[in-house]
Amino acid sequence: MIIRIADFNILIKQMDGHSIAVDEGYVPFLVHAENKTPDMVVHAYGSLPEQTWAETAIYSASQTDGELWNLSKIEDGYLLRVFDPEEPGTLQQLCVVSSNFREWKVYMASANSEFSSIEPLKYPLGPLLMYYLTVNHDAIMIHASAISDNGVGRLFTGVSGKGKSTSARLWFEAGAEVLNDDRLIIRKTTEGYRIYNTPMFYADEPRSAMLRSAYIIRHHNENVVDDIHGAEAVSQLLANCIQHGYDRKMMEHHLHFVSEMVAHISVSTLGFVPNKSVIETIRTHESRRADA
Amino acid sequence: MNELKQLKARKPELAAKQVGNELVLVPLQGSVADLNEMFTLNEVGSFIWACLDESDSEEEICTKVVEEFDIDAETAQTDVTNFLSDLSKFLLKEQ
Repeated sequence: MIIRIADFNILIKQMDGHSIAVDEGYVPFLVHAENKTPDMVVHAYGSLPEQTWAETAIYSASQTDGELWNLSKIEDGYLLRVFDPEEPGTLQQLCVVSSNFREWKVYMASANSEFSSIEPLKYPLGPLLMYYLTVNHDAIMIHASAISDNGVGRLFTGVSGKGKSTSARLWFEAGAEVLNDDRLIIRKTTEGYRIYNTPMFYADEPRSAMLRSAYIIRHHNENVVDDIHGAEAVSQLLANCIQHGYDRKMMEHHLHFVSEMVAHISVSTLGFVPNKSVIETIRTHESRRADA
Repeated sequence: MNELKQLKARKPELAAKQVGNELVLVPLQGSVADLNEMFTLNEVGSFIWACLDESDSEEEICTKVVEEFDIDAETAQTDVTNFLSDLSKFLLKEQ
């Protein structure tokens, strides 16, 4: 099985007779086998291994109701333990990961009969795999909504409640294509920076557009756009990027990617009234900037 | 330990990226970057930041700023003092 996300190919191989199942959100991203070297390989097993490892804990991701996943260093890679989000403390997957994060052995913790199917990408492991795809490439994940307005990609980012979904809806009502309203991957390509949607908990087809503008949004009593540049643009965008950077190299990767990107796209802060007037405000602003 | 030494000691705990003449600093706390706590430095701040490693006193940094930016000593002293004060608030606030 190959899943293509943001033009990355993830090869998933069943290793012990269990068939592979994926959430409906991944189904539109399934592609036929190609003669292309995968960017990531997932070896899926239906039960936990008997092997044990000498490990050193390096990172733990927790939510209010418990640990979501943790990462340990082992001799030639990493151990990633993923816990069931609905049953805190219950191991869901154990992953043995190569040091470059390209080879994953995913062991399901739940008891399975010999012939049952397994779901190696079961949340939250799927988004984690996507994140580790980006750290090996000219790519980054970001909490944002994005639209394609006749091929012009615009991204709207901000913390929860600032208007990402509202922005997507307003552009949809104005006839634009919504790429996604929550989580995106941005890749550097030979043509520029491209934004991609990623599999969600619901089914949607793969979508992408060339990124022209990024907006740091907030609700406001009038529509106000201010272009920002340089270090301010980097820090504002970076603050909304997804990062599990437990080491300096990963953080420096994110910093490098975003600082290069802001030299090629426009970045603005946007205070907006949540109605269709903001569409015209943005189009007019971009038109004036292009004329300047 | 004086404040300048404390600042120098904290430098390895930040990831830094030059963006044009400016610098973005991201603190790595417990090896995890805090993206809600970033610090951006302008051209003068970036220069002072670069001077920290090889300077043992605030006066030494002021002298380098005067030479680099062709400004008078009084202005340089004000800039350096204000910058180091802001940096201390950012970096040493938990101490």
